[in-house]
Amino acid sequence: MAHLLIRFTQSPYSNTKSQDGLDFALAATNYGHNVKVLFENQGVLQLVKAASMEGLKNHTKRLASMPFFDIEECFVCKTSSDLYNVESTLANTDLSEELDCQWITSEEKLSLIQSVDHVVTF
Amino acid sequence: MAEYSILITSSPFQGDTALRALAFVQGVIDNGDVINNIFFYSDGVHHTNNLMLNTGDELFALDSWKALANTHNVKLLVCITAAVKRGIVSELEAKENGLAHANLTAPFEQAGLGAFFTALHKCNRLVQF
Repeated sequence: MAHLLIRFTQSPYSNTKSQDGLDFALAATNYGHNVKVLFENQGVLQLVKAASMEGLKNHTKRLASMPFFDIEECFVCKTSSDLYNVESTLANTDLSEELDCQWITSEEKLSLIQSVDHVVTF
Repeated sequence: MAEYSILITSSPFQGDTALRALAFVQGVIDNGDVINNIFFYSDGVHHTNNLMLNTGDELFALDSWKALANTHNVKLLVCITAAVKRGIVSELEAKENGLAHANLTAPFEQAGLGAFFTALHKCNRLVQF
């Protein structure tokens, strides 16, 4: 079993990376790996709830399914959420509660990266 | 001896990424370490489209991947879901869906994320480009 850190760094709908990254994370736990996720840079915007649109997969809804796939450890970069001014928005949404998100500093990010075997960035 | 899994998520047109990936893989082999597999995922599947033509004035990664597979027997796995939605299909899908052409052939092999993660259990390094 490998310990993986999946970094989400892109806004939810700017390209397919967010969707591909989530599929990647969910598949990893299905095959016996341990997964932690980190939202940083524009990736913090993935946690802002958006209305569903026909023909487009609702990314925040899909993210909410992570605990059912044994992805229990979710981290949010504090510097990024300050930069995009979303900390209070995120703190008040159900999603960050459902995912039990922890806000971490740059130093904590480094020790998080050191604590895993592999880091994959989307 | 280290065993590597290589994950390609960038398209062939993304700066010097393909150059760096190929140089890295060659370096691992020269070093006597093992490449378990190279897995093309997300926009990385564009690397495997064999309807691309060589324009001659820049790296043509498709030929380099093929050469790598033929010379060193490196396994080239392509995520089937990511590929078909980007129009990269094998003979079988082309036939089943009434498409005029297939553009995915050997040495590239179709696989799922499951194959990648199963192989990852054996690898001590994972490098993404």
